[in-house]
Order: sequence, then structure tokens, then C-alpha cells
Amino acid sequence: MKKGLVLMMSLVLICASVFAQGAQESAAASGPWKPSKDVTVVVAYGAGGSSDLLARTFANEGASAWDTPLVITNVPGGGNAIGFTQLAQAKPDGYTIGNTNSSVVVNCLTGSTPFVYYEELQPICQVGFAPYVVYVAKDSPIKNLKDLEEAVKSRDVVMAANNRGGQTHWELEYFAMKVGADITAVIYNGGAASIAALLGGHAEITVQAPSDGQEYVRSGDLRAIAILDEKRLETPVYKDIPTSVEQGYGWLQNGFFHGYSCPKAMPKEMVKYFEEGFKKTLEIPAVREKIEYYGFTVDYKDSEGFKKVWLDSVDKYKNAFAELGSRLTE
Amino acid sequence: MDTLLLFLNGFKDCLTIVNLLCAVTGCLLGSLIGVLPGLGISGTVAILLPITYGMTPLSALIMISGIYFGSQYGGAITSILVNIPGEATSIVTCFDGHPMAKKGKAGKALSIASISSFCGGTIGMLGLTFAASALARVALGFGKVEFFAIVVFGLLLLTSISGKNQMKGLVAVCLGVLLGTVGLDSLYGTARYTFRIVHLYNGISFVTFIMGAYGITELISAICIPEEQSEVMEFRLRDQLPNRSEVKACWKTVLRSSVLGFGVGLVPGAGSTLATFFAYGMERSLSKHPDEFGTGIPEGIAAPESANNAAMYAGLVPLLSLGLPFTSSMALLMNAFIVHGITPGPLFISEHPDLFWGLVASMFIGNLILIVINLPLVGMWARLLKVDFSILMPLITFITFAGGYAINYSVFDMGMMVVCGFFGFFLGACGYNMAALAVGLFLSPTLESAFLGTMTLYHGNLLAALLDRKIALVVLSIGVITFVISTVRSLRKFVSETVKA
Amino acid sequence: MKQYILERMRKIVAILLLVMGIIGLSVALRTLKIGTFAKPQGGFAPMLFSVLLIIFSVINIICEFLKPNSIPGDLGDVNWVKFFLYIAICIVYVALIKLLGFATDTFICLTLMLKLAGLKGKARPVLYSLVFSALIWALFTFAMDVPLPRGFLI
Repeated sequence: MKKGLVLMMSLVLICASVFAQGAQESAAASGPWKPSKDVTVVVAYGAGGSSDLLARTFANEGASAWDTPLVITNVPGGGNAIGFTQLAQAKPDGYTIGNTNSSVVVNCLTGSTPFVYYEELQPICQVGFAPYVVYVAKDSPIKNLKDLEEAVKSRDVVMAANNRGGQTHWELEYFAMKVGADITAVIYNGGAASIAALLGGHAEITVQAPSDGQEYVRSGDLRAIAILDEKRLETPVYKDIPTSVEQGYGWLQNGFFHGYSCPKAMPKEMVKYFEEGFKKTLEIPAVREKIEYYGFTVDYKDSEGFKKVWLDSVDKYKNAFAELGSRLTE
Repeated sequence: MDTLLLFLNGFKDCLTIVNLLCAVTGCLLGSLIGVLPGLGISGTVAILLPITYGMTPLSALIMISGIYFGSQYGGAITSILVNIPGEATSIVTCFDGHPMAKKGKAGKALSIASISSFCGGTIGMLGLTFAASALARVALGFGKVEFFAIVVFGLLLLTSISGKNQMKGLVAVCLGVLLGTVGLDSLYGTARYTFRIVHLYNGISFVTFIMGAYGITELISAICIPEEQSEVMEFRLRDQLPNRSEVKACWKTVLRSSVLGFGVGLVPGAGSTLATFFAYGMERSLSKHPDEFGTGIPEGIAAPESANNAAMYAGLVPLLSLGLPFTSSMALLMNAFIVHGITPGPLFISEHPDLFWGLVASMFIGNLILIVINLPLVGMWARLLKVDFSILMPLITFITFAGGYAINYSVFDMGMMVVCGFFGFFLGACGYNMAALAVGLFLSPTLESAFLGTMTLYHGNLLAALLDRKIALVVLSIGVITFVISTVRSLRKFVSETVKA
Repeated sequence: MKQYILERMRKIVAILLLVMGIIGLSVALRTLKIGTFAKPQGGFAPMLFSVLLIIFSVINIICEFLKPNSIPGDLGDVNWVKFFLYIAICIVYVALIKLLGFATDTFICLTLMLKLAGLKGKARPVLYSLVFSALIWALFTFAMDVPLPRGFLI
């Protein structure tokens, strides 16, 4: 009799908990997903760098757009390999996202990466974009891309690149190849050193991010000759600089983006929460201001749009690198 | 006259309560970070940056530059007390700093370091103030070939000033340079010697190596080699400060090293580390008692400490006058500017003179604050050495481990530290100078980049490169000649010793 | 046996350095693109540096072998038992840290090391270790905002 009672009670308890569990799940499924605890943003770079500070902007100035706080976690090492690896292997439970820039595509095509980033990560959204700009030293005779074409065909033009095969290298090599000539690329360690090379007369031309070259165009130490995009830049410094499309070299376009991504298996509704969250932060003036300080134009694209950006970039780079072949590695 | 007025204005801006508070906080924090082995400036700066959003740009920058100078001094503290350099620029301070501490004069060593840093900083600040723009443009003339020449010069100099055996120094430098190639190549992106271990993609971190080869090695020696813990000899403040004869011996050193440090510090990138070596080498060759260098003499501390502070100001020259950050710490400082909406560039000084001069003045004040805070604390630090080594050393071991982890948040780095410590112990005992190895490791990317750049520019013809760039030729020749002279000297000694045996 | 190795330590280390140079060179030649002097590639510098290491190690070995055997510097006074125990504690520490978490692992290993370093008694090492590991953990977690490794325990 007692045993029977105990058995009955345990059965009731088990059924109750199963129902409760089910009720809880269906309650969650009924509304849009919202996080109930802090969300970790994995930044694959060290603290203090521009990617890190931008992510912190979204977390701090953008705090009002999020239901729970964003917590920045720095996972430096291996370039960005360790951070991306950790992001891809994180649980797709909506509590881990990561900041993503163009290296998610570029690194896989030009260097060694532990896995193919753009295939194993799911894009959430893009927040900013910036085109690359072609600069020449102030006393260079080259005034536009047409002059550049003639220059590479007739003499040895020296170009400063930040790293071999990288985003500041291949555009001009590609240009030279397409017009049937060659260009000498000297590799400097980073944007500051490349710009210093132009200022010091060691190199004549370089491709850099618009924020990196801006102050030098303003002071007259460098001249910008082309924006590598379809649209001109709206800023006072660059608004008069023609694009490569306007100059007739529309096949020379390149830029870099900043956005956020998550593990591949994260469910759509969680992605939607973040898409909308970032969209809301981009409406906050303080956030927009900071993004522009870092040289990006605010350019929101949702998950689908961002994925398209990734895949288009992959195609573009694969084709360009295939055509360039050994020019890029020598 | 104009400059002087602006300079004084800058001082006025700095001397508000808020700004002074920021300076003190920055200096204290910086010293703490510098003392704790492995802890870098970047993490702390990144965490403090959001706190500074509410402040004016000047206050924020004052605090952050306080951190930089504080960490320089903190690095000297550990170099002297426990022979573990906190930064690359503190390695040379170990050469004479630690022996002096072992002789019981730790307080004196620390105060000499403090005072030399202050003097070096003052001279550096004067350089920055009066010659920033002109110097920056001059430094731009530094191309790949000049870089190559100066780095080779530095490395060759290194083999002769560190340790007693030049051949072994040379081998150590070569090993260091080779180990420095481990990881992803910064120029080509090729993975070298990484054996598919992701953690090696960034190579063997310099700080990790120092903490292993200096830190762990030192700790092993302390625990496993029975030795009397040295008595701290001085207790009175008077004994902890340099006495008249020492000041007389050092003031010329400080002056010369500061000027040299500032000049060398203008070399983009490796400037401040190289500056310490050149200063030490120069002082040793100009000294009337060169053989005493390395045994714990005041000049041996004064030279590198004044050079590295002067060089730090020189590092600011390209950042403030041209907007070009050549080292990662300068890049961080630049981010601090950007976050407040200011992008340094060639027009910075003319468009934001109040900011520029405020910053320069704050650095001087920061230097002053550092010396005011630290001199009295010298006694406290020296007393640390009286703590029983059987407690102190294990404690430092685990702080070092934590610091090693904090660099890249990687347990692999901790393991690397142990490996470096193990091998460093034997290598060091056999006479291979760890400083040479460490600097080889540190300068390897710079050397490679400069060499490959030269080769690319001149299509493989090194001779043509040197003939084209006369400065590089001169520098390299001086380096090679000095090296050959000291090689011949040591060869002669070696031959006579083996013949005797 | 120990004497034998210690006396020849300098020679052993010199040979070891040469071996490292040779390994460096062969790995570089086998797996990396070297390029030429005019167009150097990623493997050029490793190759060059290994060659330099080999050349100078050879000269170094010759110098060493011309000298008589002697125990280098402080190595004669080293307490080798303590040495290997120290290394062993370090290895155990690094191996277990992901499992036990920073604070626990530090507590255990610091206790062991305090005993190794000569701290007398049974209670003192444990007590000091508890206090110090807590302090270090707090310093890094709260003051420095560094997420120390966590395992099953903190």
C-alpha cells in the first residue's frame, strides 16, 4: 500500500515536471527570442585595438538597444585564428557572437587559417563599410589612374604595401597586370610605415583606408587620386576625389567591412534579435559618431545582405588572385 | 618666444586638480603594471578608455601617458630587484642594476634609475618641444636600407657588450633571430616552424620568452642553488640616494645617454630598445674603467635608464607631429586620441596647440610625479628583498605565470615560459647571454623586413643598396669595424688562455 | 655520471645549438618557399638565419672543444633534486590548469612549491598559499579584468 502510494506520487511528479518543461519551452517559442543573461561578444584581437574599441562602442554607447548587456571578451592570438576558432565552436545558444571584419574572407584566401571562416560562421549583420583609396606622394607626377597607367608602362613605379597579398597590395598589382605592365611592391609593416615611406620619398604610391590617409591629404603631404568604389565618399576631405568607376577603371574596386557573426548553427530567431539590436544601436548618434571616427561609413546590411557581401568578396578575390598568380607572391 | 608662451600655457592647463589627479593615477597604475611581470599596458589602457569618455581629451591623455611612463619605471624596478626585465627597454638595466642590488645597494640602484629616468625624460621633452616637426621629417628619411644597417649595428654591438664571450654572444643572437622567425610571417603570411599549432601563429612572444628565460631561470636559481640571501645594507634615506662621487661620475653619462637615446629613439619601431644598448655601449667605451661595467656601477644603470626615457619622447615625435604610430604602444595612444574624436596628423600641432602643449607639459609633470612618488618608495621596494626567499620566490613564480597567461589569455604561453626557463637555465649557465638572445628575438621581424625590403628594392644587390644610401653605409661600417676590433681582441685573449692551459 | 655530464655541459649545449641550426635549415628548405636574393620569399629569412647559426655554432664548437672540461658557473652548486621537482611542479601546474581552474591549481602548486623552497611546517605553507593564491586571483580578476582560466573549479 505504501509502496503503491510512493510509486503513484513519483509518477505524478515526473509527469508534472515533463509538462512544466513543455510549458516553458512553448512559452519561449511563442514570442521573439530575447536573451536572459549577458551576451558575450568575442573580439579576436587584443584590447585597445580599433576592432575592440568599436565593439565596446556597441556595448557601451549602444547599451540602450539591448535587453541584456553585451560583454566584450578578447581572444587574441594567431592573428585572429584563435578568436574565430572559439567563436565557431561556441554553443549556438544565442549568448555568443563575435566581431567580424574583412579578414573573415581575406585570410582564408591568402594565408593559412585553421578552417574556412566564411563557411563555418554565420553572418549576423554588417555595420560599417569603407572603400580603399589610392594615394600618391605629393611630388609625384601621377594625378589620376590614367597617369598611373602610363607611368607603370613606361617606368618602375614603387608602391608601399602593408603586407604581402593583403588588402593594400593586390589592387595595384592587379591594375598593373590588367594594363599589361608591372609594379614594384615593397612591404612595410603596417599603414603607418607605408605612409612614412611615401612621405620620406622611398615609395610613390600606396593603397590605404580612408581614415589612415585623411590627415595627410588635408595637410597636403599626400594626394588621393581614386576611391575604389562605385560611390564617392561624402566627407569634406574626399568629396572631390573621383571614383575608379568614374575614371573608367570600374573593374578596380575594393573595400573593407565591419560586422558581427555567430556560430553556424545558431537559430534564425536569435540572429533576428541581434540584427534588430544592431540596427537600433546604429540610430544612436553617439554610436554613429564613433563609427565614423574609426573611418567607417555607417552601412547596415542584414544577415542575408552580409552573406552576399562575403560571397561576392570571395568570388572577387578568388578571380583576382587566380589571375595575379605569382605576381602576388613574389 | 611663441613656443615658450604656448609651453607655459600648456603647464597652466595641466595644473588643475582634475588633471593632476589623472596624472597621479596614471603614474601609479603604470608603475604597478610595470612591476607585475608580463602585464602589458594595452589591456589596462583599453579598460580605462571608456572611463575617460566623460573627461576632456586632455585629462584622458594625461592619464594614459602617465601609465606609459609609470610602466617604464616599473620595469626598472623588477630588473634591479629580481633580474627580470619588465619591458624590452629594461633589459640593459639588469646588467648593472641587479649586481648592485645583490651587493646590498638595491635602494641606491633604484634611486639612480629613478633620477636618470627623470633627467632623460626632461631632455627628451625639450627635444620634443623644440624640434618635433623638423626631427620628424628627418626621421622619415629612414628607409629600409638605413634600418637594416642600424639593426645589424645594434645586434653586433650587443654581442660585444653583453656577457664575456663574444662568440657565444653571436651564437645567442643568431639563435634569437632564428627563433624570432617562428610564426606567421608578417610580410608574406607564410607559417614558419609552426607545425600546425595555432598558438604558434604569432610566434614566440618576446615577453613570454623574457619571463621564462629571465624570470623562471632566476627563480630556479634562487630556490635550487643554496646561497645566502644578501643583506640589505642601507637603511637611512641618505644611503639610498647616490652620494656626491656617484653623482659626479654619472652626470655626464646621463647627459650623453639622453641625447643619444633621443636620437636613436627617432628610428621608427625598435628605437627605444636599441637606444638602451647604444647608450650602454657608448658609455662603456668612453669610460675610464670599462671592465667595471656589469659588476654594478652607477653609470651602468644611469645610461640605459636615461636613454630609454628620452627615447620614449622621441617615439612620440612621429605620432604627434605626423600622426604615425610606429610601435604598438603608440598605436594605442593614437586610439585614445581617436576615441575622443581627434585624429593625429601633420596638422595636429597647428590645429590643436592647446592639446599638444598640454600633453607635453603633462608628460613633464608626470615625470616629476613619478620621481616624487617613487624616491620615497625606494626604501620599501628594497625592503622587499629582505622577505624570506622561500616565500618570495614561489609567490613570484605564480604571479609570473598569471602574467604570462594575461598576455594572450593562453595556457600555451605558460607552457612556453616553462620551456624557455628550462633551456634558458642551461644556456645561461654555459655562458650564452640571454639578453642577446632576447633582443635577437625581439628584433628579428624588423631585421627581416628591412633586409627583404632592401633586397626587393635593389633587386638583390646589397652592395648597390649601401652605395646608394651613404648613411646606411657609414653606420654599417662603424658597426662592422667595432665588431671586428672586439673580435680580434677576444680572439687574442682566447688564444693566450688556451696556450697557457 | 652526473659529474660526467656536468663537466661536458658546455660542449653538449654547443652541439645542441648546431643541431637546432641544422633542423631549422632542413625544415625551411623542405617546407618553405625560399625565393632568391632578388625576390626573397617567406622562407628566405629562416634559411639565412639558420645558415648563420650553423656557421657560428661550428666555430663555437671548435672553441669549446679546445678548452678543457669544467663545470660551468653555478651548475656545480645546484641541488638537482630540487631543480627537477621545481620543473615537475611547473609542468603539473600548466597541465592541470584547464582542469582545475586557476585559483585551485595555484593553491595546490604554490603549497608544494613553498615546501620545496624550504618553508617549515605543515600549516604555514597551506595557509600562506591560500592567502596568496586568493590575492593573485583577486588582483587579476577584479583589478586587471583578466579572465583567468576556469576548469571544473575556479
